Amino acid sequence: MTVWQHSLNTWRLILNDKGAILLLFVAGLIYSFFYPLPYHYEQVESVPTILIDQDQSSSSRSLQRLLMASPNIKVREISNHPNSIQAALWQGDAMALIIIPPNFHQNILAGRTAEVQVASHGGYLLASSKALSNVSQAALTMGAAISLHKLQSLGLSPTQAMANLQPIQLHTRPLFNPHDGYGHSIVPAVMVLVIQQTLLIGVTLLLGRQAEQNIIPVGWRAYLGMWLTFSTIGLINSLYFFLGALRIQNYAQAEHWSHLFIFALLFSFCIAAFSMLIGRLFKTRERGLQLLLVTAVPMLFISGYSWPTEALPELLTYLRWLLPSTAGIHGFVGINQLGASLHDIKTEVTALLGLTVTLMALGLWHYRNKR
Amino acid sequence: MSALLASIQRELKHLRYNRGDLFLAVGLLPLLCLLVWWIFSAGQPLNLPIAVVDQTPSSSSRELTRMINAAPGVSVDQHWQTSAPAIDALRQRHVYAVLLMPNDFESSLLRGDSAELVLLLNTQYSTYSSTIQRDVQQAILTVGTGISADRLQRLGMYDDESIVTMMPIKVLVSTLYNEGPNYEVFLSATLIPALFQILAMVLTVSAIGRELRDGSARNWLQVAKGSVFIALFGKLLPYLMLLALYGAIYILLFYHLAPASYAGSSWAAYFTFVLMVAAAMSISIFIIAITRNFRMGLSVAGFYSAPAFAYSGQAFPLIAMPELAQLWASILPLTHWLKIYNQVWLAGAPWAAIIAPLTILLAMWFSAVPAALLLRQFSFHPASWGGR
Repeated sequence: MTVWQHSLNTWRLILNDKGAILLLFVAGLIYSFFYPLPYHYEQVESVPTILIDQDQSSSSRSLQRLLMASPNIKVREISNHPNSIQAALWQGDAMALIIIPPNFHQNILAGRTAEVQVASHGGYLLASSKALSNVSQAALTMGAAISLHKLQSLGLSPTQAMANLQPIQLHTRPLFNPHDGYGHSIVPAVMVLVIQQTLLIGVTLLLGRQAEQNIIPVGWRAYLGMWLTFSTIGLINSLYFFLGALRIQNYAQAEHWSHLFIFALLFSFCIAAFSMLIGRLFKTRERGLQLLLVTAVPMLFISGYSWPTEALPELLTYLRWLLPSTAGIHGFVGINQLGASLHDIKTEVTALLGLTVTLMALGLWHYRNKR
Repeated sequence: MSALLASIQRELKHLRYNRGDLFLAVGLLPLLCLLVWWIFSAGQPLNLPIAVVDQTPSSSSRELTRMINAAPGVSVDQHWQTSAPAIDALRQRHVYAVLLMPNDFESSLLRGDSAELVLLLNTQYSTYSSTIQRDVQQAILTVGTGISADRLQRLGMYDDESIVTMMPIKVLVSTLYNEGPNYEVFLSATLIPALFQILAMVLTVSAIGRELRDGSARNWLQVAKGSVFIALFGKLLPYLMLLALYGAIYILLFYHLAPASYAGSSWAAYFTFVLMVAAAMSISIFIIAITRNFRMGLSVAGFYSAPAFAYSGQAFPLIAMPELAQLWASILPLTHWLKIYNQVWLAGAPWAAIIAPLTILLAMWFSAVPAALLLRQFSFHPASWGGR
């Protein structure tokens, strides 16, 4: 048989296998909407925060108003009783706690530093950091008003007063993910993993059954034919995710379409060769599903994306390149979110090419005619 | 020999002769947990690379750069005089932020004006950008405070007065639980239970699904003297015991890694952890009873449990999710256990505070009863066997 015939045969095999269709096509379709769902609103708004105002003064109420207007926290005032505070924290009704101590107003009037205490639940890092930055911002805003007033009373112009208080001003400009959205950051990376894992597990389903029946095709033509089919499926899914699903859901989009296409092609070649080699490890149809479902989570964190490469143990910074998802995540995110060209992601392109050549060489050897 | 003992022995005998299933049950989870622990073992991210664009290098700009470089989370890896190559480096991910210092940086400071800096952040890589932003802001605040104090004193203020003027309201920050933030505790301690949940479901679906696939379900029931409850209990007990043992190791290990982070009872955390595993197993019985197909059961269990961490509210809070996502989160045992993890194990709340998640986990566990009945109704006929 020719390579084309083997490729067609593989298509036939897939289309007659409900389990394979489910994994290779339907799963990606579902995941492309199911996975981004929790992050639909992108931002953490209204972190439940409790406020205890022990001062009950005009100054403390000014601060309260600023806190109430803060974008990410939802402030609820409760009575100043240790039991009610503890209960609110334990019930999970509150992730952060603000205390305005007595003498807050007195200290401001007397020209002493007034203090605000804020504490947050360290178990919920994202929510706590939002709460902390909102409280700091409110205190800073109120503090600036007090100081400006004071300096202006000394005869300084507003600009001069500001220059004295803040000699260096820092403006931050978020690039690529302009609203610093959580979903924007994580979803494209996970999508790459979904493309890889659905193909991988789908292929183990087909190869596992062939192993059971002892009918694994051998020879370079068979290998290349199957590889072509699986690469095509990888490409279909990659293009669906990055040109379809992510666009519909308004995740940032590629400027370099041709670069995206070429990278998707490289990635598909690589995951096809990867799957065909891993698939040979399993002797039954269900074995791949059993063993590989649980591997996606470590694969995400090992890639050095949502957990920085600089914080990985050194050995892992090398080993991670053995998984196509590592280059895939950085490459797709680079092109689709950062507007990178193939040149900008040459490390990832090189890694994918090297891995593909190695995996295919191993694959051809593994699928050789054993006479 | 009692029916229960016979059922247990039947399952153990299978594991003894099937090395693949044995590895799935015994070997896979410790390996992956070790890997997860290894990934986060270095602790907090340090020395994340940034670039500085210093259009007119001066002693002030060099001093500021030194201060920023000294912050633990950042490392000034690149110095440029124009912004174009720095932006390229940002896009190529050689650096994750660019600090732009304008031409008139030093002259503004000398004149007594305020100098404006711009920090460009690659917020797509959000762990990088949030760490960098925090550290750069802090370094600039420190330098700015020094200059500000100097200027105010020139206006005739005393030390104390100038400090109050710079910061009339001071925010005292403290973390209630899990001080640090200790990433090792935050991430690996919450990811590992997600792996337990996936594996508990895969093992349960596999143990039952195998009998349907191979048409051995009737023999399985016969060994249990016809009782579906004994059959299930005997089959699943070895897996529950094993996961309970691994769970004990997990709880002990993390407690000893960061004893100060865990204010509450480790026993309570452990007891509820085993309950979570049992709840996940009960739901798996449902899945296989409904699908009656080993492969399909695994696919459904995977769909249910693999994205569970994303829905659990640990990384991205539940309150910020759409209602539909919150609803889905509420049917995952992991979500409820992580609530207990945060409230009881970290924060030291009493049992009374977690009645709701505990009740839900118990209810999920008891769902094994209707699930078993469903299994008995439909799964012991040859028509339900052999599906792949």
